[in-house]
Amino acid sequence: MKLKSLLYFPLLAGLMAIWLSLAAAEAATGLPASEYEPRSGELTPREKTIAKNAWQYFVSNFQPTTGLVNAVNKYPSTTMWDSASYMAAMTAARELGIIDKAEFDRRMLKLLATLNKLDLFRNELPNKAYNTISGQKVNYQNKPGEIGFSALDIGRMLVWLKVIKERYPEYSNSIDNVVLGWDFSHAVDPCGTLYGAYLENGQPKYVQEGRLGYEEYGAAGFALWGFSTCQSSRPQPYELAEIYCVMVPYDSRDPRQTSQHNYVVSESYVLYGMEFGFDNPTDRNNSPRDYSHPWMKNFADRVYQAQENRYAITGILTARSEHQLDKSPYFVYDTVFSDGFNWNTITDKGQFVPNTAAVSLKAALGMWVLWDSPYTDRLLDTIENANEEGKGYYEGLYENGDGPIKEFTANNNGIMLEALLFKKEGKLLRFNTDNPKNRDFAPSLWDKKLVDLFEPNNTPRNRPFLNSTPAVKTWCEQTGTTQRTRPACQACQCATCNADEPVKLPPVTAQCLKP
Amino acid sequence: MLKTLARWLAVAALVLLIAFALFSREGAGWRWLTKGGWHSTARISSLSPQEQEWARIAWRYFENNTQPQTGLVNGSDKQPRVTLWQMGDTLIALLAARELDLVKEAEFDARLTRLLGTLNRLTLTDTRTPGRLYSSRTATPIDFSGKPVKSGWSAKDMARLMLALRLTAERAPQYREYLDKIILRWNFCPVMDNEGELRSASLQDGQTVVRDELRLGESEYAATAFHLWGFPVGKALIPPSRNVIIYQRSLAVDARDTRTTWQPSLLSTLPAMLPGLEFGWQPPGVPSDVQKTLRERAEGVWLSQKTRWERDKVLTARADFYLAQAPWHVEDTVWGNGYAWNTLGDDGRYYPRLAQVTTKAVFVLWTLWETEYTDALMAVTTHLNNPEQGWFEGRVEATGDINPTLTLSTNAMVLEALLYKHNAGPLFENGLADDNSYFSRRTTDQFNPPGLCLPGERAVRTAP
Repeated sequence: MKLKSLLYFPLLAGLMAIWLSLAAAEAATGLPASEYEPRSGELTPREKTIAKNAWQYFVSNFQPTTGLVNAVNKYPSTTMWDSASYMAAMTAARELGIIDKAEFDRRMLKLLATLNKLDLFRNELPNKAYNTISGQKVNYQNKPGEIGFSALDIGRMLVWLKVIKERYPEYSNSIDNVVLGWDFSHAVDPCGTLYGAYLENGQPKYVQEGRLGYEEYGAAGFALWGFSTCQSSRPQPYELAEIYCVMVPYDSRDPRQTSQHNYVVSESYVLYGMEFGFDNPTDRNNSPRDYSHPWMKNFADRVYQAQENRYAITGILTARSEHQLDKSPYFVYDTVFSDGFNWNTITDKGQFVPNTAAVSLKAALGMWVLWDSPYTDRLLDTIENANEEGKGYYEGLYENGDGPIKEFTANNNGIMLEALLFKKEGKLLRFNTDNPKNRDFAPSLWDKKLVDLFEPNNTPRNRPFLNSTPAVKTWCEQTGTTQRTRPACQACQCATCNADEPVKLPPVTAQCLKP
Repeated sequence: MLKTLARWLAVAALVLLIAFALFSREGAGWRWLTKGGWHSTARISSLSPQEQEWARIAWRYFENNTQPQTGLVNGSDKQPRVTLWQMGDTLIALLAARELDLVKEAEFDARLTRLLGTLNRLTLTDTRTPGRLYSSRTATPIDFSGKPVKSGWSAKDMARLMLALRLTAERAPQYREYLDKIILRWNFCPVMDNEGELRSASLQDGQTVVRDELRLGESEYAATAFHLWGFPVGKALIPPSRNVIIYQRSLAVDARDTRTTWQPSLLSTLPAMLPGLEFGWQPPGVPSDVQKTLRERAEGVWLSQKTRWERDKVLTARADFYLAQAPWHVEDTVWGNGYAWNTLGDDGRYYPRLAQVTTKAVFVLWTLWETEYTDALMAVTTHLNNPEQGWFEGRVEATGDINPTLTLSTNAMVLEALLYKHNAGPLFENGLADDNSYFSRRTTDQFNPPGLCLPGERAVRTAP
């Protein structure tokens, strides 16, 4: 027995040495993308022109009756996601000096009034679609009716309501009123999973919504307003796909059984990078290269690197996202990976339509600003003049050489403007209102309602709890408010999810990418 | 003096001890030493009575399903249809039965003789290639409903029969001439192109459509079988690959796109393991880097299934199998068409409820790897048989039910795996057709060439 264990010793030592050398080899092969800096600085005249061109979309598609903007050129319908992109566009236009405060205010006042008056889906949350002329909730045919809500659309709207509230505190009350009007009881569960709604035979069904990338982005919007989003903010469950030497993470929930595609695209990561600077959503620090959300930055680098590698290896310029088309099937998920295949391009039904693959302009400009590299320089050269006077930028440029996708959308032009604003200012979410940790904290309307035990709508609408700090306590005492505090036992609500559990990063590259 | 005696006694005791260690239990130790047990993961001890019984049960299928007129064996129990792959299985099963003492030499000769005659008279199709499916009663091409039909050919099935013929030639060399003549009837011109890609044909709306059906795994296996007969190796041996990741393990799959070629890209147990059973992953005449790749890929397929059991606690041994109802034939995979652990019917649809622990995969894995995991697999499979009928297809993953279909291939694989164990190593010694044979005489006869694009003729053409 003893002899045996003695025999094992050199074996163990050998294995240890192998393991150590392997670990060292792995550390040596990082992603080039992790070394690329985000772009920053004043816009050059060329970039300024791009911003002006993109803003054209919002000039020509503005609906004066509601203050909303058409999601797709000349088609009077929109969603919360696209309206948030419009808010982003407005913010960028103002900050980049394309419009003045007066124009911004006139647009914002109308928009917030409309948001406050929206007819909600079953009095819970905004419907998936609204008519931009009448402001009525509509079905997919843009006829009055209701179809459900999307937790991800609402998540993005929550992000931009927060951004506007923090940047322009004069809108704080209107914005808080919008969110106070919403009922979150079916949208977030105690473990922090996000749910969307749809109608089945007239009855609402609530189903988990969001896949890796978009799910965490949507969750960040909820987290900004104080919701605990433990489950939806974690990357699990995911698997890896080897794509041009890069290990790209994808959501491993099976699209064949859940009827949700697990697409990996640039957009979700690009938005997270530009709006939160790859920080935790509530991180108030603005320093550009200090990422308090390391796995998000790492996953984004992988998705970027796979696309750059595809160009390096096959010569196909690649910047992938979901996008509209100017022909049937009108909308595709144009992905880095989806439903089992690398570089899959599928319709919402899952049909393979490789000829509709395109360089998505929003993805290209988002990648350009977040990763300063020769490849993204080339992307910019490719897309900078893909616009039409008075209409904004095209949705994309077909990969097969068929030219531009002659369709214009609020989301595409809005995200392009966002990217340019990111170059000028860095991360777009800039905290300005009082930090509850400050000693002389003064709560906003939203905070006041959350902290008041006698506010009747807190529990029925499943509103979150305001973190109890000394400043909050002091404020409550001074104003005679009975403080509403989080139940002592968090684990009683959700035992399975631990938000603070560190995320271990999976291996980055395959052996083929040795430097 | 006493000291010397003590030394001699000690040496004698040691020698006795070693001799005892080597030759007790019917020489198991000697066998281990001579057959290279220290560098093999496989089970190579001689068959236990229980394993002998397993082989007898498998052979029972062949006894029940042999058609007396032709010597062919039904592909499924009482279903008089058989493919070339299954004919190859039949030959291997027959060889195993002889080695495992299930048939006497006289019966072996009788069975093989009938088969040789049938195969040499097999009705070929218009292209002078063997068809996809034959009636086991009449040895004429039929379709699945049994109607006579002109069908295409399957390079994959041809390869299996060609390999089995080589194995027969090696293990029963007295029949070599007649085995050679079987291949000398076939026209290889449409089957293998000048770049060594193997083509198959099928009938679609009355039209013959020729395409390359072989994908990574099956492709190399078929290429090595063709090479045994002297065909040059080419594209089929090095299919384009890309990697997918299952349980943090990189597995090579075929890179050709199933969405545009409509040919499934699958990773399963048999194509990876058959070269192990037959050649120890060292098929003769194949470059050593390809041999190394074959072995590494097979290990990936094996370890992924093992990891699924260790991690997710699901017993996994995947292979294609048959069903008694639609979709009739199922590709149960480690990875298929984009998804890990995919289960695809022949209609291309996804049938997760049909996934099973497949008997033939269990036997192959159990033989090639002596581990706790293969013991666990065998524990749920060991009773999946009817001693009067043979081995069933497998056990359903979703419910634990038995899939009681009886097929030739499953029972042949049981015999092939047990033959490996009995043989304590790969079935082939060498396998390559040698120059001193009827086959090479005929193919190098420049004045009377067979005109069938056989290996010798190819050499003449490529060397002007």
